[in-house]
Amino acid sequence: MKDTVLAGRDTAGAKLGMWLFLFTEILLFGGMFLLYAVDRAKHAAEFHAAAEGLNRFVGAANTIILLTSSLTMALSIAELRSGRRERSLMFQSLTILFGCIFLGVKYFEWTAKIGHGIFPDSPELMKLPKGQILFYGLYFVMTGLHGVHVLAGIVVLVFMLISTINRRITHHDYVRIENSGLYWHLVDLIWIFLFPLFYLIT
Amino acid sequence: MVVLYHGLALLSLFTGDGPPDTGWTFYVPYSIKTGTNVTLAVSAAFILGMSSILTGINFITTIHRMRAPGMGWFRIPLFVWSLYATAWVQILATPVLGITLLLVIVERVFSVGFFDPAKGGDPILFQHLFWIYSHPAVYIMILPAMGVVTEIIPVFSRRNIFGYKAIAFSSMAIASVGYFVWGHHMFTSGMSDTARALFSFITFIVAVPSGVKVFNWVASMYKGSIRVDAPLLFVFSFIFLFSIGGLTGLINGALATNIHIHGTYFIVAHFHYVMFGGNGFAFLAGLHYWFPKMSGRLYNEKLSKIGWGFLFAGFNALYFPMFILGWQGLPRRYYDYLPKFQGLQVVSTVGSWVLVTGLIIIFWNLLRSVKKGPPSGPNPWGGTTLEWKTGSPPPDENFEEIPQVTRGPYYYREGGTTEA
Repeated sequence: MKDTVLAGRDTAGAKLGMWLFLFTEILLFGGMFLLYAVDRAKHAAEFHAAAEGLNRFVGAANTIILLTSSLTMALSIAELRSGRRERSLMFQSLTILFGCIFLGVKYFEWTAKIGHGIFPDSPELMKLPKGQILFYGLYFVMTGLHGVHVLAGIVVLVFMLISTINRRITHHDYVRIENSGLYWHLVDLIWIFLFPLFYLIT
Repeated sequence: MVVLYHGLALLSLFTGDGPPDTGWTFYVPYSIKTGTNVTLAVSAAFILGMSSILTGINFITTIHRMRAPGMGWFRIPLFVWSLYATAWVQILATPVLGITLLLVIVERVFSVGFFDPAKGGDPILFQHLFWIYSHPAVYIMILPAMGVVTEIIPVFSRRNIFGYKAIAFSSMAIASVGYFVWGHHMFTSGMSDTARALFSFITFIVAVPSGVKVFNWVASMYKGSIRVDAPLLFVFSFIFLFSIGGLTGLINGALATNIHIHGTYFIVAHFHYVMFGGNGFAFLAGLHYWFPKMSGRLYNEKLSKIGWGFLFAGFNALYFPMFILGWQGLPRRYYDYLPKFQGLQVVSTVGSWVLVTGLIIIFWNLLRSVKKGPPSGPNPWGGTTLEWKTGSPPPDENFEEIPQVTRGPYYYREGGTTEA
């Protein structure tokens, strides 16, 4: 313990801190999942009906894209640790690319819904039963909050990419990219819960 | 982040359509409907919450990773144990407040309707989310205060602390059980009888670890060589006032009496006995105790005791009548009251003047002593914890060489002498 601290970088400490931060992210989303649980318990049938309005194919495709990005993220770290810097850079770029594709798909999904007049407080939405109003409210807020996290993850990964290119992250000193990877996996994990809760409950 | 918070909070008072008028709880539906500058104030609170979370992460990681060599978990000073428990509450509770505040902003901007019955939502949900954080928040405030008290008692009674592990674990118990009592803020808001009975029961449970601490503190002084210097004087008043605050908390937590006193001055009195009588007095105790460590100088002992006398007398004159007023039915948050409450209101008001006089004396004494007090030397109290082993104020990086820890933090030999 002492040595790692005195060497100026306590990698175990850095990871511990990151895991604690991930707990807080889960609790942040936890508040939303709590709302979801209460509202769905009250309006089960209307939630199921509203979920029909979402495109399961697009949702599943996005899930695969995000899962693959988690794979490339893990590979990029494994390659870096083995000293294969170029391959790591490629996988990092792929991760960022998949993240952008995910957000792009999300953008088209949202604009399609908004094009049909379905968005918070819209006259079209207000004609629907209360359970459906809540469903779409939760859909926009939860996937929106998740999207913000994906965006933040992409920004972080771009910085990691630049740091790897500048050799500030090397196969000796890679705790920052490991922590960024942990964050990326968490963002992925939250989507794993969002996808069935919104798309598959029909 | 704290600076940013203060900036935004202050800005929210002077911009938009007037300062926020929701009270500190931001209860919906009013906080969503009011035209005043709630959005900015809520953003400020959100940022403060983030800084609280990061502090918690920092403290837990530091306590896990950066203890002095030889300092096992049961050689940590109990103040640090209390900060450890606090840090867990900070990181586990504050994010829930974060999302709650975000939702207030989202509702104000997009009118989604999570808390609006017309759109299927439920305003009670906001109260739940709010109190899931805001009840544990009082433990964020009181746990460090309890830690300060635990540090001061062994030093001024020349005794090892009684029940080290019991005190350490009771801090963790408060941190974990304190999470599940939030419903007692909402007994009259609309909840099932089962839920109310459960929340009431757990509220009684959470009082137990606090009781454990009080008994351990008192037991630590048994057969001690007690010297009632200013820090211990504040600690004594902490134990007395906090006990009153804690026991009246049980009156609030019992379902039948709660209906009678909900939203009255009784709650105001209870809260101030715990937060000011507890937290405030422990803060002043810690400020006096570590003053020589921070400044390298001593304050005027006599003046600090006089200040304490005014503060203690004023405090009780100010807040004790509120118990009686509340019991007689005076509601809180109104500026006017029935003539029969006049007498005690006057007592309370005069008490507030005495209290402020005490605070002025105390802080004037301390501020003056930063420059003009006599030098204190590294260890004026004969403390045995590590911070007293280094200079006052400590040099850069705290120690000339990193200390090796070979025993528990409060080691006093039989007969009241100090182990070097």
